[in-house]
Amino acid sequence: MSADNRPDQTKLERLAVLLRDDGVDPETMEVAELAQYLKDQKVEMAGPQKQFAALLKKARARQTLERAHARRLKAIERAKSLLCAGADAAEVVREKVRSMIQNLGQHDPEQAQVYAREFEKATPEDLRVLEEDLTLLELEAAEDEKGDSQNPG
Amino acid sequence: MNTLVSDIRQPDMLPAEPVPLSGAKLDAAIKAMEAAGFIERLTVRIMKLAAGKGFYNPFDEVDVDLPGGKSAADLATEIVEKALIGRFIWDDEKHPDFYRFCCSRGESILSNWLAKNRRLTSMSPVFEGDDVEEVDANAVNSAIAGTDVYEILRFRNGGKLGDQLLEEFALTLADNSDEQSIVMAVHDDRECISRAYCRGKLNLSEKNFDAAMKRIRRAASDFLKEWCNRNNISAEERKEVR
Repeated sequence: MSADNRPDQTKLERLAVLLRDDGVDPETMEVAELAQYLKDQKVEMAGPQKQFAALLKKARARQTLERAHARRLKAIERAKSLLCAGADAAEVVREKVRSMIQNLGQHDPEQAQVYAREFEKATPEDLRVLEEDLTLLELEAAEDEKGDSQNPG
Repeated sequence: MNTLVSDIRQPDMLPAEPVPLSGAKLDAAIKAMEAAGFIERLTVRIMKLAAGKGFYNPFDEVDVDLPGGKSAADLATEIVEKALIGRFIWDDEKHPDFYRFCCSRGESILSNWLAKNRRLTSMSPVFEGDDVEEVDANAVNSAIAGTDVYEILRFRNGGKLGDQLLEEFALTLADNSDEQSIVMAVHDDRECISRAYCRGKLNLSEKNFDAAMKRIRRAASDFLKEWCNRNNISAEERKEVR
């Protein structure tokens, strides 16, 4: 019994309090005991229980939505970081192709100019093709140099 | 009976747009709600709070309604709903446990209802300090005293009518009986609201105390009817007393 209840209580209210003091402590009761107590007190629980179940269901649905939203945000973040990594990779290829064209220019300036023009308007996909072409050219050039050194004159 | 409304302005309630529970708080609330018997436990706790504040009619053993015909279970569900939608703001530092928070809301709602009705039904209400702010109309503080006879008895003239009834009731009980001693003790001693205290004060065995309380319950209902007739408390005012 809380002392806070006492100061304002009328005498009749004191009787009301005493008549209902049954020593019940809900926090220490088992679920079955709670159900029996409510039944004994003729408290209609079917409606409130149904309403409570609906509230819980709604809360769970909100929780699921929240988690899905968080997962979506996380996925977007991951996609963004992957896109950034992709952009970095494209830049590496671009640098590599530029360097290859410069090398080509040292022994075949005309062909290098053709590749340079392609390079200027190349998309990331085009760069991959250019890289492959230039790699093949470098390999061919290397083969030629090798043949020349083996068969001088 | 005037209505028990829980949207009384309270310090930890939002006046504006409510923000539903989310994140860790929502998780914690759901976990608490999933505990077996959550709503039943909260209902019984609210019943105990209401009983401790004298909400239940002493002349009606089966009275389990709160003002406005709500039951403790209705109020429990409403508290949970308002906490979830953010009408009641859960300060989880103050109340780490969602169940305890709901209990505190129940306590607050019942206390507010009592305070407002005591003030509004007293002979000369004096508004001071914070009271001026409370004059803002809402469903509770604009309500006049209820028409249920117990509400009339507990609130009219600051409860004087009920006190008078209690005194007369004690005098109708058998002289020097245990039941008369109990009612007189309740009348004279403000501490006499707990069974243990009352039994100790009157030196009554548990068996004798229970038997006397049973006789008080039986006698009270008939006495009330007769007393209301004698004091011209109208049938309308008595209609809710079975």
